[in-house]
Amino acid sequence: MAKENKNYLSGKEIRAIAKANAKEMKRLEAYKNRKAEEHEFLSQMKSSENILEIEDLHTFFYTEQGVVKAVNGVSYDVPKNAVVGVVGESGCGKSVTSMSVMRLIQGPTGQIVDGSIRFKAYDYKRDEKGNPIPNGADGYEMEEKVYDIAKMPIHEIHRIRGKQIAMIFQEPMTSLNPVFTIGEQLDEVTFIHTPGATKEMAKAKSEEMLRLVGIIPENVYGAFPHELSGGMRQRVMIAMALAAEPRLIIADEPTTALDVTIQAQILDLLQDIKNKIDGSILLITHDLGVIAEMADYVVVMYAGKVIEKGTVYEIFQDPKHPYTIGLQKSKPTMSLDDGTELYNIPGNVPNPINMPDHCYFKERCAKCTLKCSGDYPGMVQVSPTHFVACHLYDGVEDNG
Amino acid sequence: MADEKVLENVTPVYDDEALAAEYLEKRQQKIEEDFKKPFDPDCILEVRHLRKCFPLKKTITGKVTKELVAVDDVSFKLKAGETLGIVGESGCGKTTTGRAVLKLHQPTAGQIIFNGQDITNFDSKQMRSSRKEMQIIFQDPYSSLPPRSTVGGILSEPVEVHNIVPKDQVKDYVLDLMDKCGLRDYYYERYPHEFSGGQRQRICIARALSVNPKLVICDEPVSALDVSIQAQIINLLKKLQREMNLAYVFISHDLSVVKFISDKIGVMYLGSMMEFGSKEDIFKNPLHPYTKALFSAVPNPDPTQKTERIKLEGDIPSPANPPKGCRFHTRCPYAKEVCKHITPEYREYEPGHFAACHLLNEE
Repeated sequence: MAKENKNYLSGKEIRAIAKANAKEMKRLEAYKNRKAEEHEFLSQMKSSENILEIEDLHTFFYTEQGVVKAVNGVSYDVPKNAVVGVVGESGCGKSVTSMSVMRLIQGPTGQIVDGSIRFKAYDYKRDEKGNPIPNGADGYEMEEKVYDIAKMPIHEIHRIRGKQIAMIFQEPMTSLNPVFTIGEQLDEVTFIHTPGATKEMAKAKSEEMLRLVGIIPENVYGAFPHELSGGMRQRVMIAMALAAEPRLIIADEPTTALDVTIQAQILDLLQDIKNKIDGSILLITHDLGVIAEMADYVVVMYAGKVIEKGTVYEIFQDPKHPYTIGLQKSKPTMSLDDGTELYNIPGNVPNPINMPDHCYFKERCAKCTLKCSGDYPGMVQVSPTHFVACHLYDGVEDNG
Repeated sequence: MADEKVLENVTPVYDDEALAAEYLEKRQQKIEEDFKKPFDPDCILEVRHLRKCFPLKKTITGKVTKELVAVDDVSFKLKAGETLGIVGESGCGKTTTGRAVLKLHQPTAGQIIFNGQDITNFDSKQMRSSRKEMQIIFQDPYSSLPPRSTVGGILSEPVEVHNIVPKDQVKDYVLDLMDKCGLRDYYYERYPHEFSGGQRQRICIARALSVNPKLVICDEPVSALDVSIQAQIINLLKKLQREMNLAYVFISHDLSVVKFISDKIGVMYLGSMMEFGSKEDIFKNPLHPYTKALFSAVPNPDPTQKTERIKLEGDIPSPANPPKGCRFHTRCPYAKEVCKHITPEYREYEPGHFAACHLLNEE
């Protein structure tokens, strides 16, 4: 029997980790809370087609056991009017990426360490003090600005959070405030994000949004969250996300807590809404079926890194990375005939602390070669839209 | 003959109380007749007209004034070495059925025949010998293991309690079992918190199998796990079934998993069994509109095929206040007047293929 047990740390090690963490966290907190002029966090998009560009994002958690590199160099783009699906197992950093975009990472342990998140916003023109000029006032104008969210000071984030990017959370049961009525919570969105909004305006807007998600406002506007079912609550959450007319909706596992028949309703609703509003959806889920039905582009993540990205047809019909292939084969499908055994990927996701230098998937990979013990593989382009991070495709660059 | 006419050519006066009473009486008679039938010797588990109610409101004297009917009139048979998959949405009573079969809930009415014995009214002492023949695996591997015992302790306790092997052989027996379930031998002295979800679920499976059961109730064993780990656990369950000739009752809301592992499938909705049959029957020739809608709602992981969905409107009604008549009529796209008033009979339409729907009686 093996004696050594790496699950425990000595007191000395713990103290050293705590000291190093405290220093880093202090520096990053100071950067987060700094005062900055607007021009310091303005940026330029690489491609005008995109609404969101995440580039080389690193989000770390400074825990007592060590630094958890939850997001470790993630890059992907969200094009205009598209649905981008992010898929991966729990702990792969898909939610942390989206939380970083919203700047909802819980500090001081969680910090965006490096990278940039560029977002094309459609914002009010600001006066000298940085306050928005409301509709009807002198100098009112809406203009397109590209913000680098990762560099924004935290007190400026309200320009984007909720207004330009809205989020739908996984748990409709706990995301609504139980002591306020649905109407009050929906109205609040308009009050916060539309300068100079009146009560009547807010109510009219809320009712319009409820109708958009297929709810009769008269029944629900004055109701409390506990009076509604799970599916209804998720509809309310979607209405709330839409109320500020965002350009990007982040849906973080929107249907995981719901039953299949209700899930089908919500997915149809999201499709429908995407066509009605002029925006994009970033859909985060672990369900490959949902991704295949909803997404235009797919990003596959594993242990804090993007391992493959491409259009939905490329990922599902011609997957390249052994992990993507394994993931698809290990899911029992409705159309599958009686295979005696399901394909399975051996082993577990590696411990997020002290990640190895080589490919993180090496220990579980069936196609592993000598090369895999070397550096972490870089992104290889196999078609204009299809990228994969695997040594198997080194030198198989796109020829067309 | 006259009685049958009342049932089959239902007159348009549905709210006739006399008619409803007559219908109920006839139903009760049929249930009592079924109870007297001899036990099927091939089957390891036979459930007849199972019903379980939970009290919702009580008066000060303890009299129950309002009940929640969690499981209403569920019947099925299961042979040794077979897997029965129970699917349904949340709140449909699939877990309650599983627990009632193990008598973790005392059934309100109905019969449970396990291994040729009617165990419905056994007390806890009598149950004790049956307990080692039937075991359960729970959904959440994080909360179903005692945090203060080692893996060795968790696995040897049931072996010692039921005297499966002599005391000096317990450790070898447990190590052998751990090997079967894919656990390394040095895990013996570790605590549950040191393991990942998939490993913990393996410990739960090993614990359930430590007493050599004949029947294992798997209550959503893979719902809390990731896809790649899920496949490992499903393969393990299948392997152990072949080796030990186990019968599984596999409860899940994931249709694709149920399809993969089951021989027979029961579809439940709001406490009632809507359809029951072999896997081929249920998937190739679903009879009940709910089964069809449920299958079409599952997202297909192939972007080139877009499935035609049968859309179900609205939400599942509250089980505390279920609709009258057929429970599905509020969401059924084909619902008729008769469905709103009379509960359809659970009948055999093809050999071994049961369903409860009025629409099927017409053709």
